[in-house]
Amino acid sequence: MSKSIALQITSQGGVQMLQDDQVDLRELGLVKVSRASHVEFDNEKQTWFVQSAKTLEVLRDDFKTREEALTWEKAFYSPGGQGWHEIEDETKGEES
Amino acid sequence: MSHFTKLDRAQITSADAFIKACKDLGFTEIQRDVTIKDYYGKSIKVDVAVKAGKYDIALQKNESGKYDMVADWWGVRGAAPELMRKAKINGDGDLQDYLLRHTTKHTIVERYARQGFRADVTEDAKQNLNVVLTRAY
Repeated sequence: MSKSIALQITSQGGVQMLQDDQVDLRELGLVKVSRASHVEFDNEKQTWFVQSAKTLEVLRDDFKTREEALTWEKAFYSPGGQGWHEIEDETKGEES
Repeated sequence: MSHFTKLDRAQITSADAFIKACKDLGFTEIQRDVTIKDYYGKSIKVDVAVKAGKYDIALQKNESGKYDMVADWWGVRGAAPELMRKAKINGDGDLQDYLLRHTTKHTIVERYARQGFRADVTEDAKQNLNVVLTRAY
């Protein structure tokens, strides 16, 4: 078994990642933290779902366990994942 | 449940990592704790001086205990056009960005290697460095 943590050092020397307590970016300067997603239980379907905090879109709603939802969510929002652009979009929004 | 963590611009916390970043670029003549001349010919004491042509790129410790990069950036860029071309550096800002992101890369790789993480680093088309830290447990 192994644990992987993905982060991105931007071309301008910034750093961004999905929050992981094992990597403390505060050692390198002032960080900003924002919510990426929600993992909740659907009482009707009796399954766990992942929802984008930015668009409120339900991204997937068929997880039998919370652990499965968290694992999928982490891959989705890590660098290279389909949801990674949401952090890049936030950065662009701040620059404009 | 998850959160994004962002740092707009990393600060330099490791002189060793900065030296490795300069070596990544191709500068190899490096001195620690020396006095150099600034743009106006005034002597200044620095923690690291990297010779780039007839100019220096230097690190000076600031009040917070971290480091500032100081140089006559125009002169440095003009002194090593081959290296700049190879690293796709087109301006003074590009050069500082290159050194900062590679210094940050070495800082993170060294810091987490001490905790048993192996680092895989790749560069994408936008010159972002993607780092994956992996540790067996």
